[in-house]
Amino acid sequence: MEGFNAYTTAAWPAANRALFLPFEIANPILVRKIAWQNSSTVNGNIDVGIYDHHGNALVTLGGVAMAGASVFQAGDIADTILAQGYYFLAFASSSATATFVRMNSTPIVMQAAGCQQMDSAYPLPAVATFANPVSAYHHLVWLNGSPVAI
Amino acid sequence: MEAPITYLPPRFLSSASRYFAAWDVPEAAGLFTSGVFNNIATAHPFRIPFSYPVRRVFWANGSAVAGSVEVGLYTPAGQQFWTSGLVVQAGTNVLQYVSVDFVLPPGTYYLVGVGNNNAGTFFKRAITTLYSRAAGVLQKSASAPLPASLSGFVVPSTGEYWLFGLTMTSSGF
Repeated sequence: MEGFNAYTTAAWPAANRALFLPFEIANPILVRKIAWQNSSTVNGNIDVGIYDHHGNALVTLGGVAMAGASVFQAGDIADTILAQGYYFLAFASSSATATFVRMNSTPIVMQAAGCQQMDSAYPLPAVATFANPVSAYHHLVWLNGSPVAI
Repeated sequence: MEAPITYLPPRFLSSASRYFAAWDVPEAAGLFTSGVFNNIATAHPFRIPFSYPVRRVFWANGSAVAGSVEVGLYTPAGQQFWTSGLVVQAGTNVLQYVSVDFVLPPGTYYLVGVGNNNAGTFFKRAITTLYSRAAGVLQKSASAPLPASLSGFVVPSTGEYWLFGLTMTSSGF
């Protein structure tokens, strides 16, 4: 995705807001962890998870204290196999002062990429109610796993 | 022998995705911002290695709306094979959609957009002549409604790169 600027640090846009970044899996993978990049201000709790494209949670971490300034932090989720398909990578922070590494943009660019958001979404819910993003915030987050044969 | 690469089409195929030739316009060109149409039609080449079920076509309205917008799809030879027709621009700072239902086979195409006035705005980025030439972006002024072919479209001197695209979703977003 383009239309963003370089990765910099910024506070999470709103307490208890969840952002959902879309991704597609062409070949099955086993996901073991979800990681993100903390920045200088550590505060509150984090939840991460994977949702199907209908907004149903497939796996969530359940919440963990944000720990460590300017380090990668990983959430050890239940091992989950993702088959070929469309998913959202969800991230929620209970704090609006916690800072993370993210790209800036305009919300409509995120919408054109298929990103979604939900407020009052910490901890992450079993079913997400999607809304179009209003935050110019595309955080750095990724899956840790390995290919599997199904 | 390595396994063949498997592609899963993205749910949103926007001009800011890697399937568009000029998707990686250098960051120095700035982010997408709201600006006026200038009554210029811009053709954006893209290539898809998969069949794509198109359920909606969209563009990103800016902070002021006026007149109408038209988007169309063209072959690499510049022949139009689908157009939305002129659609009244509605809603500021939102994606505006046109519902369709067809499948694009794997191949190379142009997605072309035009606004028929100088007051309506949309989200766009600047693109230089050099980059337009390298990526194959073409433009032509005063081209609303969109013509049957891209005859007369040329590499622009001061290009405008639209934020728009196709999606397989029929609702939401």
